[in-house]
Amino acid sequence: MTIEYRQALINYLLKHRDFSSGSELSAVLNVSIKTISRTAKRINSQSVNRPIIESKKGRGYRLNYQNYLEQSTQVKKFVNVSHLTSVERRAAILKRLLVAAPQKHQLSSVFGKFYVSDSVISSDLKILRKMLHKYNLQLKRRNEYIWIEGKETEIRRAINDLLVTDDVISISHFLQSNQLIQQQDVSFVMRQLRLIEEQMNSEIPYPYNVNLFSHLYILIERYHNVGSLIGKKFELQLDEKAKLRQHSKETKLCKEVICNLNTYLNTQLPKIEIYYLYQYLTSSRVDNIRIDRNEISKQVREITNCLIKKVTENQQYMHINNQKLFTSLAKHMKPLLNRLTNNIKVKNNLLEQIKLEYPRLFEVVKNASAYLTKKYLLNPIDENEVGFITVYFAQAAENMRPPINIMVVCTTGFGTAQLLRAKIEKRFSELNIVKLVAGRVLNVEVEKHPEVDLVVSTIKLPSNIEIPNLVVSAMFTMKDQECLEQEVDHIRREMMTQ
Amino acid sequence: MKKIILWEPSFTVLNKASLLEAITDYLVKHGLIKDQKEAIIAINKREILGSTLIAPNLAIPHLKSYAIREAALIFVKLQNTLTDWQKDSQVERFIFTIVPEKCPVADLKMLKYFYIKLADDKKMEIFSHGSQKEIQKIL
Repeated sequence: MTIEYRQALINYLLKHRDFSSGSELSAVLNVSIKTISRTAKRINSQSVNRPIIESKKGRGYRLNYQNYLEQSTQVKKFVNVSHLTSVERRAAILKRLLVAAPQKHQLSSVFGKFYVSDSVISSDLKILRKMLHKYNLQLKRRNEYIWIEGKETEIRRAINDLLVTDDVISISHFLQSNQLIQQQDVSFVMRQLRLIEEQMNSEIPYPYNVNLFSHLYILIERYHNVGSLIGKKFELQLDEKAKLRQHSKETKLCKEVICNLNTYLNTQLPKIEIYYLYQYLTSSRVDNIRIDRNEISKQVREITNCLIKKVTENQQYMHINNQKLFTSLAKHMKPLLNRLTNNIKVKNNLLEQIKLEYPRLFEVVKNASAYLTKKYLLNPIDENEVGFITVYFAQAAENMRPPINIMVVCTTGFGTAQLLRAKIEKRFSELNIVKLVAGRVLNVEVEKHPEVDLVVSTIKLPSNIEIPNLVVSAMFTMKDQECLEQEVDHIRREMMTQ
Repeated sequence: MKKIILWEPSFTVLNKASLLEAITDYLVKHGLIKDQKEAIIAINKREILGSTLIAPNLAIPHLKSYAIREAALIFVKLQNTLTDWQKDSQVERFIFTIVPEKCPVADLKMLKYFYIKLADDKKMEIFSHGSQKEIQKIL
């Protein structure tokens, strides 16, 4: 059993509030039910009296969030740097150098606490150089000093990409070691986010809120650490000024936030910070606006239509094109195009799950996105973004799905059938119960209702029933529900391939 | 439609057969069943087709037959549990539903609402473990 399994199990449960059955987890993580049970036990052995994963017979597993949080912070408290893996060591060094760039550091003060040899230091520096090269940053070494040099935007991009996870708690942990200052910074940034939301009269949904948070937080930390070293020479270019003028509402808001930052940091931030914030803001999805088709810019409309056309060229998804998909997708595409232009990356926490649940659709959207980048000369649309787009298509596909018609059977057509009907209606909204039927007239009723896709019965059925059927107990246990779910999935797949 | 609660009745019930005998006998005496033998056969036939257990200790045997004179719901809580109602189960509570072949629509509607109610987990919990008073209230 690897640590990855444990983390994967916790990650999955973190995203599901209610119980998840063993078989569900086993299917998602591609391990046996026994492995799930063993993994849960192993995780719980770290905190004997306060189980992190609760299990309940017949219902499955659930994360005890409180215990999980306590346990994870405890573990973090006792991390000993000498036990870090080489990847963790390099990440720790990178943090220190990036956050304080271009400040110079003594080699011994950076590597000293890790007790590593000169050859390890050389190989670490080589790897770090390679990592930073992607961001046009240079790792410099002169005499016994090392430091990072490069553009401020690239330094922030590297911090965002390499060090920030989408977990707000860990963002707030990673930079500022002084707890009090850290809390002040976090609450200041949160206040600015609230201000932005109030002024925009909307909520900034996940993950864009995390992106904005990390942008502002990193900005503060950078100025805390090396404010005086960050050049004040950055002035706005003409095209940047023009963009700001075009969007006066957003610009006014960005100015207000930067002005607050000036007061908070007791400094005068360069004007370019207004533009950086503007880029983040216009790259975030804002939820309040009901988009009128005519208000969408020509470019967004054209690209959205092209994307839908390309995806729905695939026979499997040809039925999902509709106005609702266009409107919601266009709303997403507008900031996405801004993100591509501004080189702003958004992490998609659900990427693995999206790939797992919609493997084919993900590939189709990925290919369509690649086509878009070529046709419209866009920056590459990465998998995180492809994942977001896939969700819009998946949702449209699900909304367009015809309901599955079922017939519920018991001996009389009213007893356990009625009970089962109420239970099915409660748990399976996608099923349309056509009729409750007595077992003895089933054949006649099936003939009368050719639209029925599935017969669910509490009694044994005659073998000559020609349509799919499933016998469940009147209790409609978890196992029965799982069987019905599988049967429904099977019918759906058949429908999709027809 | 009649609704009856038999809370720990005095008749001796040792097994499934004696329970069906005692209940149908009671219903015959109260004029709800006209053919006791036929009614028992119909219940057994239904049980053979599939379990009517809806909670670990609660079963809902039911029948629609010419042997029935009038629709009724009969809740029975025994003094002891039956181990032969279904393999690996100990059943002590039953909701018998009897329906004549030609049943008034009003009765069928009442039965429908009763079963919808029964699908509610809280109500089900009361039927499986609740007191006589609680059951009386929801029946």
